[in-house]
Amino acid sequence: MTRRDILKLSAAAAAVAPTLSFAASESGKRKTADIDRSSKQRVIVCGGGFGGLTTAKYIKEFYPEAEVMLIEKNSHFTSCPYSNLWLGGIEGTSLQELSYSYLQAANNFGYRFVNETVTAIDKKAQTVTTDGQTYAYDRLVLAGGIEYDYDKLFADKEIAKECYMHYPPAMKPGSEHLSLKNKVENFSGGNFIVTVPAGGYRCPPAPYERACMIANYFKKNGIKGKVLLLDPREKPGAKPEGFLYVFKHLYADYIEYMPMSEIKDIDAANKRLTIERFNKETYLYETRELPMDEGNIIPPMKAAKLVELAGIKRTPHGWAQLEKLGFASVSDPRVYVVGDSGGHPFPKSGHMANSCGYIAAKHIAYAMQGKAVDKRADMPSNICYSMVGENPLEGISVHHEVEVKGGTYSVSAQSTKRPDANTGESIKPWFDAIMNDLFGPAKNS
Amino acid sequence: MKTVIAIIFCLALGAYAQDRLGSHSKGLTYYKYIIKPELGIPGDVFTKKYTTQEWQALFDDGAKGFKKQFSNVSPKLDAFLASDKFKQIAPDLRAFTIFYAQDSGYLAPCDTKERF
Ligand SMILES: Cc1cc2nc3c(=O)[nH]c(=O)nc-3n(C[C@H](O)[C@H](O)[C@H](O)COP(=O)(O)OP(=O)(O)OC[C@H]3O[C@@H](n4cnc5c(N)ncnc54)[C@H](O)[C@@H]3O)c2cc1C
Repeated sequence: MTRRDILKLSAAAAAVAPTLSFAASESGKRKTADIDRSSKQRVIVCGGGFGGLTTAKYIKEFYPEAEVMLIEKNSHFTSCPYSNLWLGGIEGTSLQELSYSYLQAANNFGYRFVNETVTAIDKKAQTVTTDGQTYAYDRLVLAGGIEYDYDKLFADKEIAKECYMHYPPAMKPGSEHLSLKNKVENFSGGNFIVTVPAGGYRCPPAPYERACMIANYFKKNGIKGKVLLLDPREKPGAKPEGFLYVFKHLYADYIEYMPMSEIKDIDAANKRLTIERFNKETYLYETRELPMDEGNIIPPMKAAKLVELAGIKRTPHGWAQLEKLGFASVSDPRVYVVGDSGGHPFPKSGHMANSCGYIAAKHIAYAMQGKAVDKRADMPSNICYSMVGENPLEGISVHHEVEVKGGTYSVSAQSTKRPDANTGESIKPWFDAIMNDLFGPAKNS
Repeated sequence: MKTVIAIIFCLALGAYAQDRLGSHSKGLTYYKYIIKPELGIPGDVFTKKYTTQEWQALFDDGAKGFKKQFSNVSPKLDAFLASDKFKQIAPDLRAFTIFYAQDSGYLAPCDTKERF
């Protein structure tokens, strides 16, 4: 799909769907009560990412009589999956490929898209307030993704701000990716530092894949740069054998993997990063200063602000605390959390958010219709590909399966140990298939 | 001069969160390289021995409870628990045990299968 197609489609959709354009055009202008409330049961889905889009679509499928509203702050969808390929200049990739129209999805699947930002949630009154107005709900789905947790990195908020401004993480959909792309394209040489966050974070392979794609760009364009990949872990937190093989065999001159390394200080003005690195001989962390010609500093993460707004319980690590099997909050059975904000032991990925969104939709639709739900009937799964080389296209992958053990979810993983062309070639079809599931066909009506 | 140095030192500690609270990932590394060889217990099993509150209590008062609980396992571990180095890394070990505690809902990635 090209950008022209997207624009054409959005315009056409706006013309044929007055309720959609009403919601969008009212945003930010006034705060009113929910005037167009119908008598149908209403589900509000907050956040139009992988989790929210899937849940909205499938609630309509499992319970067509329900009124489903998707509230999203961005006017267009931008994908994080596949963005590393674009960053690395893989031939044939473009920003347009990552962009999709929310109106396309809403029209194809029969729910309502509201382009507003959620600012408050009242669980007791069962209302969601946006920068436009207040809406009542019967069931609420929180699918806001992640929030960066700079507090875990820097006690000083000013340093955190500087760090974000100079070295944006590009782990959320939107303009941070453009900023990172500019950094890669304008890089003239030296150290390009990429850091992997500690704890659970969105898309565990992403920082490692990103290092490979930046290195691919340097290699392809004859840039005398090196990616220093700082990891608090001893080995990559995802696909460890595959990535270590790739760093050594494909990018020996372009990637230096630095395990057991932690950020201690950042001096953006003088482009220096102070780190602590474990010395296996002295058993001590030793402090070192690294010149940082460019950087992509990825901080620890927690659930999106929506979870805090809803005032539901969080795990000690900042994710929404959910029922043992299923997606309802332990604080309120009418509030569900789907995607990366959730506290289940699943990898935080788009594929997993899509898989969980489908199951959550079924649970929600059944509950609304008073039907019994067997929460052991459907288990989510995940497949995650990482592109590691361009000539030839090569990738590595990991496959996660979930089963119930002792009344809770248990996850197993199996990853490939060497890059291969088959995996590399599978990435685009995977991306196209999942986008097709979220948005349906583009129609030029 | 002494005061100036002390102030600079405090500022440096104040600026970075992990220095104040300890770093769970550093604690994991310390556990793996220093304590695990003596105790012989993988990190994920070790951290699941106690709840967050129980670990907190073990590390209170200069980690008195921790030292008592894990003394007499080996002379090497006893010497380590009595050392300045233990004092220095105790905040990281504390952060590690709490991060992966019994009630934390999180598994330590120590030596086991790939985790996320
Ligand atoms: C570089 C990179 C590469 C990746 N590659 C892959 C991959 O190859 N495969 C894979 O499966 N996964 C991949 N992922 C992970 C994937 O992007 C996430 O796991 C997925 O997006 C999670 O979906 P989500 O719905 O939880 O969050 P998101 O997709 O981030 O959606 C959250 C949405 O909520 C909206 N929102 C937040 N707050 C508000 C508010 N207050 N009001 C209104 N709207 C709000 C946001 O604007 C956003 O659109 C990658 C991630 C990155 C960063």
